[in-house]
Amino acid sequence: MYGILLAGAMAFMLLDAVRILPSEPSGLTGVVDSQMANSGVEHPVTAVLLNFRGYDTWLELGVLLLAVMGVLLFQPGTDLARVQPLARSDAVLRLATSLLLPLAVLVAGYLLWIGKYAAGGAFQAGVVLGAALILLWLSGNATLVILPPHGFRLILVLGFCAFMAVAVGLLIAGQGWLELPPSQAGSLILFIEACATLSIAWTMAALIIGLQPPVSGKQEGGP
Amino acid sequence: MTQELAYSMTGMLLFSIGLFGVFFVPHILRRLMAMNVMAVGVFLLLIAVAKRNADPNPDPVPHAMLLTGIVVAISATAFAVGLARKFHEVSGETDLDGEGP
Amino acid sequence: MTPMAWALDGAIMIVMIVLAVRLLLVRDLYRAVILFVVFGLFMALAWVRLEAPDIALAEAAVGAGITGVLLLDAAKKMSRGRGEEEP
Repeated sequence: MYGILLAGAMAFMLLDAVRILPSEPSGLTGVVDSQMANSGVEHPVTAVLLNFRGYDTWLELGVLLLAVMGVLLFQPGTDLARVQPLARSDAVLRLATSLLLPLAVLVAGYLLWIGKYAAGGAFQAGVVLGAALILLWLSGNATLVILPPHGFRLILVLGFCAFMAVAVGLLIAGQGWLELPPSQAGSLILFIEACATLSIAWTMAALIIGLQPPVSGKQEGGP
Repeated sequence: MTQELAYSMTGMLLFSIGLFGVFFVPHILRRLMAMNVMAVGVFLLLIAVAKRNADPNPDPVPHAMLLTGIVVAISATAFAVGLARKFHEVSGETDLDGEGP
Repeated sequence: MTPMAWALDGAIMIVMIVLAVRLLLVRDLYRAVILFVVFGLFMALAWVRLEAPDIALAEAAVGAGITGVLLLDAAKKMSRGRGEEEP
């Protein structure tokens, strides 16, 4: 009862705070638009994400990496080889997977490419590809489980490391910190986005699959 | 009342509902869902404010922030679900009331 | 804004608030998770109405796919009480 009162008081204060927001609009649209010609892409959200505020995006890829490391540490063994593949599921799910999977890969590639011109980009493409990987696993295929641990870890850190390589490369070339030169910005952004897409997809899939209990036989042999 | 104001107010109501859930709902998974409802309330406010813009186009900076925010929120939720499952495995409890076995 | 657009926005807002309350109060944990997934899909609609197609795309994939698998799987494991062994 008193919880409802508390939440109600909170809601009242927040609603009032929103109501008295200053009425004259303010924002960064003008600033972003004035720099679009130097960004290497045509979609403002992608330009902000990968160029103007690239530092934030880079560190957010680091947060994803930390989350997936945390999940993988819950169980013994820091790769997915310990996870049991699910039992083969029914024919309908397998048929649906075989139809949906190529489509999902195609959509992910399209989203990655269209990010330069319209809504789309690494995060959307990565999430779609990750959902496809999870579907593949749910339908009883081994997916990530059979990847060698090194390859698996390499893909997880690929996005973060590609971003870092670009940052360091630019520093060596005499540019500012993550200051993409306008002539190469488009291709650098596409490179970073391609690597980030793979990393995000693998991270999403590993977050789900990594929570599965380990194979019981393997666990006893472990340290 | 404009569309932006209506969506910001919905966002703030969702935030309060989520806050209630985080404090007063016992099951951990439900608390995590309540936390996500709170996050969604904040997201709605940000995007509604981004649309209150002199330009016809919405402000791209909050959009870029949220794009990463959604992916980070699901990763943090997955990490928390992992912690909760481990906690359940070890203690057999499904809530954090601290009475212990 | 036309009355049609207002009706659509109003419906989205009301459904979101009702879903948020219901998912906290409904007794069955499974049902709460399913309500949460539906909530995510309505979020995607809200993003489209607020002219944020980038976020709508990400939210639709996250909300419909990944959250559902994550929480349903956890609900299956965590809705059982003490003493019941996992299969």
